[in-house]
Amino acid sequence: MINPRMLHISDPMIWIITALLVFIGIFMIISTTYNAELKAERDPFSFAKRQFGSLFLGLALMSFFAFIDYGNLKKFAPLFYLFMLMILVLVLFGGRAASGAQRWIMLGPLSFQPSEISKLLLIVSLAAFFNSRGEKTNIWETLLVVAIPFLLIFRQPDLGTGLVMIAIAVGMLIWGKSSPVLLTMIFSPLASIYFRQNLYLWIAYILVLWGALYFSRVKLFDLFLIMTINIGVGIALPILWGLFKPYQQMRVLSFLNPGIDPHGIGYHTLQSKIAIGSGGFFGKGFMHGTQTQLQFVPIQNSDFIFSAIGEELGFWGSTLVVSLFATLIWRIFKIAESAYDYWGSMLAAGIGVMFLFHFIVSVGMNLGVLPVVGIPLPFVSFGGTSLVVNLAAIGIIQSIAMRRQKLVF
Amino acid sequence: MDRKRVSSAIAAFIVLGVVFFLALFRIQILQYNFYKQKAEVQQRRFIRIATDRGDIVSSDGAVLATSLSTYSIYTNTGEFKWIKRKLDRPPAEKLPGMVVIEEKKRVYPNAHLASQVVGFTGADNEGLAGIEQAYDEYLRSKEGWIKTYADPIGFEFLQAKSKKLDTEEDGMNIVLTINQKIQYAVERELSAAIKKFSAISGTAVMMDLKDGGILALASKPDFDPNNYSKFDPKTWNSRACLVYEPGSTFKLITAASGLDQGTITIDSKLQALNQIVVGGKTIGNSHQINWPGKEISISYALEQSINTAMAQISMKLGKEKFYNHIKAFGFGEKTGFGLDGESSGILRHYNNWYTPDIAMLSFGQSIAVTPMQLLAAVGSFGKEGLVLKPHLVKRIESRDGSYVKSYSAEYYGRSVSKKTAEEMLGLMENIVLKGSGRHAKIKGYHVGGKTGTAQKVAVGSGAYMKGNYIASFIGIAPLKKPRLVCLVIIDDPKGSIWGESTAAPVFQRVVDESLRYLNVPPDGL
Repeated sequence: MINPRMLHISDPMIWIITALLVFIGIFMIISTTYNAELKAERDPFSFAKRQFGSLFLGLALMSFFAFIDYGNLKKFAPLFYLFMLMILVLVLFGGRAASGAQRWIMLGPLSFQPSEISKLLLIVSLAAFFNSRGEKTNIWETLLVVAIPFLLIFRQPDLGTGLVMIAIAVGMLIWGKSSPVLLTMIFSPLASIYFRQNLYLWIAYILVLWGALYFSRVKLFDLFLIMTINIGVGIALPILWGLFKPYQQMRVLSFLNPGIDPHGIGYHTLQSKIAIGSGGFFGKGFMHGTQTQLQFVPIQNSDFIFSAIGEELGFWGSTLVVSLFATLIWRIFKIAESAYDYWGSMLAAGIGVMFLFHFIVSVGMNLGVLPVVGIPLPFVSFGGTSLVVNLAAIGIIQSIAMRRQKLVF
Repeated sequence: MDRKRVSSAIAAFIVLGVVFFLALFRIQILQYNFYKQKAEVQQRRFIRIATDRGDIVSSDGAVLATSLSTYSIYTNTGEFKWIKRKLDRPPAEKLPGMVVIEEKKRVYPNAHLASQVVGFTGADNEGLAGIEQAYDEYLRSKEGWIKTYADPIGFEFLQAKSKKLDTEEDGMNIVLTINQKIQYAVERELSAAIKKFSAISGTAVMMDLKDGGILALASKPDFDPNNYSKFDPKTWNSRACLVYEPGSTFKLITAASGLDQGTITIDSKLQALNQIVVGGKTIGNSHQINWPGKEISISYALEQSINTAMAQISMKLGKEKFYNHIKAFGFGEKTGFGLDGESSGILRHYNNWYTPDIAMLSFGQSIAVTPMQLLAAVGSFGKEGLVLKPHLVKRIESRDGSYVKSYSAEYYGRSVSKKTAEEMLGLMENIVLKGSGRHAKIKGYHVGGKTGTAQKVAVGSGAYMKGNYIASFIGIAPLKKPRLVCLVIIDDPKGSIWGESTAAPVFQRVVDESLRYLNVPPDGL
């Protein structure tokens, strides 16, 4: 199965960055929960302890997946896919509700979030699917594979994870050898809608899209078509949106972001920005961020944990975390590139896309650059299932890394 | 794998990294002050708490008001609310959301003593009456607020911790001119007299002629500043600030005006009249006079307190001269002795006088004065004609001694010449020796004074009330080297209405005790 010498060619940078992020995460969880728990007269370290417990399970799974050959996973992929659908159906009926959404399944004293697990299961399934179809991979078939779990998750509702699934599918399609032009044509209008919330952001997006298409030497007809669709959507959207009555707009928005934003649209983002901005260059110090300690930022131990980093650790701390993520994801794509086989490459790329999307959306919404979508910052945010799954994913990545070359004995 | 694909992925990362880096740089570096301000504004809460205050001490060192450390509990969940204030010890158990802070509580160890002088403070230790109110800005500490930080619903960050005030700017101590021993004697005698004559109230003021310091200032009934809300608000303020009709004590002012203006001399004779008609109004005397002849001396007129004689003096003086002289004594203006709410009295300009007023004024009717004004005016005879400004505060000092402000003798002006002042002292002694002031005699000291018995004016109608009188006595002692001037007023005594039998004995006892207490050498037999 494994030779100790293989460890030498595992990616040391990924080990270190993962450890650092988990380490920072534990401290920020303490900082964001200590006073709130004390106030409620509970154990102030309860969140940190639970995260610590999940860490051990995660480390065990990480080791397991690193040491077994990732090739074995391929055989179980259909089973994984079925298992994923099963737990997603199960949570819809027997799940425990929290903040207006059915998200947890109880297993005795333990509880876990099927939607978090399903991300990794979907990656394995999709990688196996792409591997089996090879060059003939069809977009519509891919969409069908994603659509079932997506709809189940959307039903919870958990828009964040749903978007992660779409991102994974799109990313893996791009990474596989499907036609990038067709992909862009299908998915870029969605991005156009997404960015249209901010006019300048949208204009920047259109320019970047045009530049990317131009330098990719796309055929002139395709370029024209893609640009027309994107600009058309961008212009039509505000007009259509304007036809809605305010309460209807609110209904749509609150449907997209269930159970949050009690103080009105923009409150979360504003509080997060105040936290980060008031941190300044050096930060206010661990446990000294007033915005964090006074709980001005909602759900700060998970979705908005980056704002705690920004406030307490300042500019240096937040840029450090950004750099750690950028490096981690870059290394994962390097591994995807140098993987021994197509299956391993797709698997690594899927994991890379998952982390990338989480990172962009989480940091982006904390900074107020992107709209609020409830997804955690990997390794850092509180959440046992998320941590365990992410660590397992790192295990798989290292398994792929260690088997990049044929071992010479 | 495809090299182009990887390089475009790396390029995307660089763009992304730069976007996040710039966003962070903008928020955390460029807009740092903006967001810092925003955070501060939404997090901080100010709570007004009772400030520390300086002590109020009598001139002989008795503490009349001081501050003790106590514990107060408040909650700040949702809305700021005090739960309990000023507890002697910290609460045994702390419920969530409760914050304990140290607060100062105002206490008055001498309770009733000089209560109307000292006054009291409210829940936040803000001065509400007496010296506490009038000198609030000196007594109070500058920091009356604590700054805390609270979450969006107001739950406090630094909960369950005692917070201490910044004590850098403590309030200053105030030393009063009030002498605790003399004040005590005055209050004791005043209470006894009120009880004896079933009077409504009584007021007594004693001033030190050395510097104008008020040695005692009391009105009965009074209150306990530790529990002021349990007492009638009418008892909270000193009657020395309020007006009354002086009656016969004002005859001293009439005589002094006549002597000083040269309208009369000490040897002048006045007609013996049982009644006199002025402007159609018949003015009589308050009692049957035992006339020695057709004419009487100035001294006899004062000794027997003869209204018709006084009217002759004021009518000789004329409206303008009389009015101006009354003004020179300080009537019609606040003395500024140190308490808020002092009245300036009622002295109408002579253009607005009715014809009989000039006669009425000569024996203290148609005029309203404050006890403090009369004290200062009569006191000037003991100061060679100079009107001393009465004052209650002797010294204001910071606790570390770096700031001291002392008050010494200040003069309002001159009322009469030195010669007239000396003549007045002689006349006042005659009143005590031979006239209505007999009960004011003090063994070993020459004493001068004048009684007063004024009909009370009904509130509202302004008409004189039948059977209701204000009895008073004002006097100076010792006369060779005047030291004390004291005014005693008994409101509505029953049994005996006369100043000589009700107010004069109080004067006699308190001045006697005070002279001995102050070690004033005897000047007589």
